[in-house]
Amino acid sequence: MISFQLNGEDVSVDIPADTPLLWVIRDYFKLKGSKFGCGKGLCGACSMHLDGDSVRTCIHPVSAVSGKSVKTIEGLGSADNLHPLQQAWIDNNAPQCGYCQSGQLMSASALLAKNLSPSEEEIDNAMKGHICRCGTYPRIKKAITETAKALNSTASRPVGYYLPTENNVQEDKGESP
Amino acid sequence: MSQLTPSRRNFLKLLGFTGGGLVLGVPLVAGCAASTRDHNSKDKGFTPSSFLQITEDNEIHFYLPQDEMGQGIYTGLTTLVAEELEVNPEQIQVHFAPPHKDFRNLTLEMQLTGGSNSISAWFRPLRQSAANARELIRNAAAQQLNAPVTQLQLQEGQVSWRGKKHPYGDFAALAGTLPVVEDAPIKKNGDFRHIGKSRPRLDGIAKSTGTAVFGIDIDIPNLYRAVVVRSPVHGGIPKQFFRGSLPRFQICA
Repeated sequence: MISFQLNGEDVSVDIPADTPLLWVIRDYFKLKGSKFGCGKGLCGACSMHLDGDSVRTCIHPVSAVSGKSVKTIEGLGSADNLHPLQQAWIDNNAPQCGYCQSGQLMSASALLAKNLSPSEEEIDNAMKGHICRCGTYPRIKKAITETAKALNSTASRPVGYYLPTENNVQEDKGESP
Repeated sequence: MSQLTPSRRNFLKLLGFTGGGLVLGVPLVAGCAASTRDHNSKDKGFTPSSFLQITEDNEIHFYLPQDEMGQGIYTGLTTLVAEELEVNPEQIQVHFAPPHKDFRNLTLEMQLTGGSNSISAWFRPLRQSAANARELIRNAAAQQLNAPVTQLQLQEGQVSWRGKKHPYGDFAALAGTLPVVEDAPIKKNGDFRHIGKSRPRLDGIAKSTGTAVFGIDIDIPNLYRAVVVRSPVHGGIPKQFFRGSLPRFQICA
């Protein structure tokens, strides 16, 4: 039995110790937002936070998370409670096919949690190794830069606060009758 | 429409439609290759495809006939429908259409996504279908509100008459019983409100919150997943294989 914290909740699983964390999350807990890409820790699609650090969970045995805290994209934010980075992702039309974006967001959010004023080089370092077939890198970088700037200008804003923007699609709806 | 053939009803059931409302297919478009589509031949057992549904509680559903793979047609094709239906793209609930000949690409003559042709292939058929639906809503509204057809304004999913706005859903039931409109006017290129404008992708929220569903995310009973086990070194080949070390998995080969 392996116990850890998943998105803030205490969980336990009875599963072979060498099962990669990714498959425990996807197949046992049925959280499908984290993706399987390469299975070798090379593409970043499976990234989650482990005690706040972004790790490649396709090669991370579940036994190694015992007693630790795991956060997945589902724990980062949701449609009605978006993480500022998720809002910036949407505003910048960052995703195309979307397959790599959960992993990208986990690494970006791990970066900003530790460093609210990352240099361009620090962003590149944190995000390198995240492979995107669609080539969304420039928009991702722009979204990270904008978010850092916005969070800096409102230092008291808690992470997870919904950043209203002019581009917000939900503001664009017609009057209801 | 209202007089659905039994096979048509089954098809709708397959799609999970439970309520009533207006359901429309794509009409035969002038200039397309010969097709067996025929809106009026309800007794022939052929049923037009089902792209659009407007329910009485004002849900607008669009069955996306092609696959979204990053090229943006989830937003693009929905925008074509929204343009002519006079709704905002965000008001439309988009579903991936199941495999069915009604959803075939009229240019490629099969249900296939590729060749960079989604927008060009669907540019007219989807707009015409949505325009026909819009006119049926207009006709139904005219009847129901006892108003002259020409004086009704349709915008953002609502029919305006004498300063009052009525959601399309109010007229869905009646629209489903009216004679089919096949050649409703579609907009001229300069008149577009949504087409050609940049806007956030309709699937941007789903793809930024991990809730977009990909093929690998589907669970069905007794589904086994196969994952390639790769050598830790380049060019390495397996020396031994212990079948018994994988008791939880069914070995297929």
